[in-house]
Amino acid sequence: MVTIQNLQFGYRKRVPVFENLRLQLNPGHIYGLLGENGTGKSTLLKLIAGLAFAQNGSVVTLGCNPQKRLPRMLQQIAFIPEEFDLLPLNIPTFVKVSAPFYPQFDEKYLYELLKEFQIPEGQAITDMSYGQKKKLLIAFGLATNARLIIMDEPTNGLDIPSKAQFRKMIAATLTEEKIIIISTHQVRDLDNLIDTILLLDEHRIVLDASVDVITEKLYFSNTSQPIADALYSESAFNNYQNITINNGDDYSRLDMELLFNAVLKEKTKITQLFNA
Amino acid sequence: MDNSFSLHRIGLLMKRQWASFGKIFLIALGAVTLVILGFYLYYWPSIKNISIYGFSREGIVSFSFPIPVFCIIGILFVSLSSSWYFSKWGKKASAMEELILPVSNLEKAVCGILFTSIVCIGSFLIVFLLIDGGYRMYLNDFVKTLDPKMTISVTTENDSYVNHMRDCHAESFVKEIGSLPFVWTIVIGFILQGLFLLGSIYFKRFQYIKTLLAVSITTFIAVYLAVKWTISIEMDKHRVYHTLQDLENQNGNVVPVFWYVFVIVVILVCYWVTYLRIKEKEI
Repeated sequence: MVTIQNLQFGYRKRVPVFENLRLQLNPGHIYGLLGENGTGKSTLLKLIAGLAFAQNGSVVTLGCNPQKRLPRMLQQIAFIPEEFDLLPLNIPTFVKVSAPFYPQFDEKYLYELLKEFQIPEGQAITDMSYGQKKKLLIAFGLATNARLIIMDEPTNGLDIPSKAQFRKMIAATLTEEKIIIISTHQVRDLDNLIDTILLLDEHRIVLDASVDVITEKLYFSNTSQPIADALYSESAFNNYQNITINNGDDYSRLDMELLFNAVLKEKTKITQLFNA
Repeated sequence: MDNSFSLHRIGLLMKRQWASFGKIFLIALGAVTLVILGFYLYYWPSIKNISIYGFSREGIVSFSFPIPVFCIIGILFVSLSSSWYFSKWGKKASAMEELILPVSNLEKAVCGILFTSIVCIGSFLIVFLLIDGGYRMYLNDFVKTLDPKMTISVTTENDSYVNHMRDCHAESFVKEIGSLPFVWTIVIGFILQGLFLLGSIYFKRFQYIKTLLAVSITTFIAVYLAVKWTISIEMDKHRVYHTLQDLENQNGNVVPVFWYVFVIVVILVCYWVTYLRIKEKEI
């Protein structure tokens, strides 16, 4: 449903953000887009949604060229950006003037989600905090029933109970037809939610693997001493967190933060396991 | 079919735009109404104010203040409202919200054009003509209440006449300035609307000032070159009028077709470039 081939993009000449980036996003998955600051996570999301244009290569979103920003494509995209500027209306008016653009919008579901987020139905958007606005935006995005849900740092600004509610909502909204892509630095917020990890580094996707495949190939452990043959080890408070090759059928819980650090520091060692 | 044009969606977008800045627009229109009303109230018909009116031999009352009020306030209102329409697209977050809305680029452009042309120019014309019309109606009623013996004598360089005040009357604004100049004033309004709308999407910040500067510089250069060119052509030319009608046409208020085509092209080019800027807009 989203296919990117040989993507070239940069904001300035000679400073590429992406070089020959390839990516395929399939329905029925929640993708976690990880990367250091400035690696182009938000840019990639914008390119998928048609808010930025590929300089070379191709991006196909839901069968359309996103650069054309056709209504039939945009109707199927719910984009929740990190920075936003909502219309200065109250919630019912906001819904009344925004919902008709989305043919599959479910107003009842929106108000259910808002109730879960504890946002009063008639509240004026101008009186809402950043976190409340974000919750409204998330609830609205999910209520559009769009096939592609794009979220840029969705948990920023959410309080602790809301993060749990957010995870529950996202898990409930995923169907076989939908793609959810979440760019985040707060990997702990999205533990158990993301099923495929995309890691951006050096102008391309260096890791594109499902959690199942990762835990099949890698073993995550905590030990009091570093493991000699570990692919990657880092010291925590009073122990060592390790990643080793999973030789048997052992199962360990994926530590996204550890994997992220490992890929950045031992890129070749880790990524060759998945690219083979 | 790429389904990129739907009147239904344009209607939805107009409704959304109205919900988001209808209030501000109405406040601005209210302010404009008050300013216009202020001028007309200042020149409210009374015996003391008789000197502000001019009287023709046919008894037609004319007064000079509505034209500058119409032009200056009209230009300000149309240029400011057009310049403001896409101005928030200069901010990343707002532009993103607008661009991701499931409406095609063409529909977004058409909506902007309709809003700033029909709604802004239309509402200004309605407000102005209503106030002006009301004033003229009152003036016509007012002269009927004057003493029948009251006269006004007018002496000009070539003429001298006396009118009975009660026989005098004011014509409508359009009739007073002439329908052709009136149409041209509206056309200039559309040119400004097109230019300032384009400026609002072309520039990221200080759209009004930048557009004003760009328009002023371009107009100055165009007028300067046109004058230079006209003078150089006229100096070498000996015009022959074959009929009296030719001479009358030359001296009369006839606008060559070229100018009609030219302004239509300028307006359409502004609209087209506005559409292209929306289409090419990236965050």
